Amino acid sequence: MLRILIADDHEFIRKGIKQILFDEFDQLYVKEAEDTDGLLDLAFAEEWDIIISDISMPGKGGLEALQVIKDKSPAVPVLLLSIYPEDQYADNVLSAGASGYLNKDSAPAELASAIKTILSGQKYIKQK
Amino acid sequence: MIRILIADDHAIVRKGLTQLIRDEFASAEIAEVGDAEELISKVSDKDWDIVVCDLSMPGRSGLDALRQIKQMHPSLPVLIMSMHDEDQYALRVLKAGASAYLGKDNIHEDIIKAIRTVLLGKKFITPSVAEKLAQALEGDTNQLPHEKLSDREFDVFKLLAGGKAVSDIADQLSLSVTTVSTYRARILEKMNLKSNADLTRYALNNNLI
Repeated sequence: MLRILIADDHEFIRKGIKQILFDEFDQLYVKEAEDTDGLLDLAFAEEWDIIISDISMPGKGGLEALQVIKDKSPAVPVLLLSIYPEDQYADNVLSAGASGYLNKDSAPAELASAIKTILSGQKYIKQK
Repeated sequence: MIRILIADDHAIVRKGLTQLIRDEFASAEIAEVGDAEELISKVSDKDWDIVVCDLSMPGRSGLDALRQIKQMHPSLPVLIMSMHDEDQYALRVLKAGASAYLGKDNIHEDIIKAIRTVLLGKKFITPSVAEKLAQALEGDTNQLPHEKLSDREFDVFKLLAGGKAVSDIADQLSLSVTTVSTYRARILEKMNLKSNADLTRYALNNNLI
């Protein structure tokens, strides 16, 4: 059973990500958070195989949440999503401890590929 | 059974909207397309009850697609979604025949209400769009420079402001280079600006790109 926590302040984006995950993976357990506080509450309340979070959310935002998650649970991989192109943010986000960075433009197959790469213990960097 | 066609270049958005709509209209027939060309093709192929379309898509914009859909099927309701501030595009989109203008920030709350409203043959107007409409009724004394542009001039303006060359714009909009150059001159004159860099600066300052 793959355990995934999704955080995004837009319900339709959470639903979209969730639908892609259910299309691509069997045996999923998914929970959703709609802001940074909700993400941090859920991040430590249960065990996760991967956390997928938007960078821009009400509250502290995904990057600050990433810092807190990496401080308390360094082994949990975090894939960050945003509307900004990869080349603007990817390096900063990866050096801040994220396991991957994806633009929300990404195709469903790319999201699945990023998750598989990260679950295999590697960092996901989009091929340019 | 309601037949709904969703056009957005982001797969995550399409799938999320499909789920949101399906939660309310379980038996709806919902199809997805990723760009304006595919949208026009699907609208030509069969009958739909509602089209939900993103304003900004690669290639032809949602506004361009809206105009063509309204020519082909004047009574087909089209809901336009946008990442942009509602103030900037709402009037232009409604004037072009859209049945609603929805900012993506509130779309999870508005989309179902909008679908129910347009199925009754009405337009769905959010409070912030209503405010903009009321302001417009007061006259055009506070009209911003870009609001003086025609729809086609506005399309060319956005592409120029985004850094596209005149020849690329001509290709994209299926116009001649001379026509695009004429549009450019008219845009600069109406907006009292001098260069493409001025257009870019203006567009950035007004959240138009």
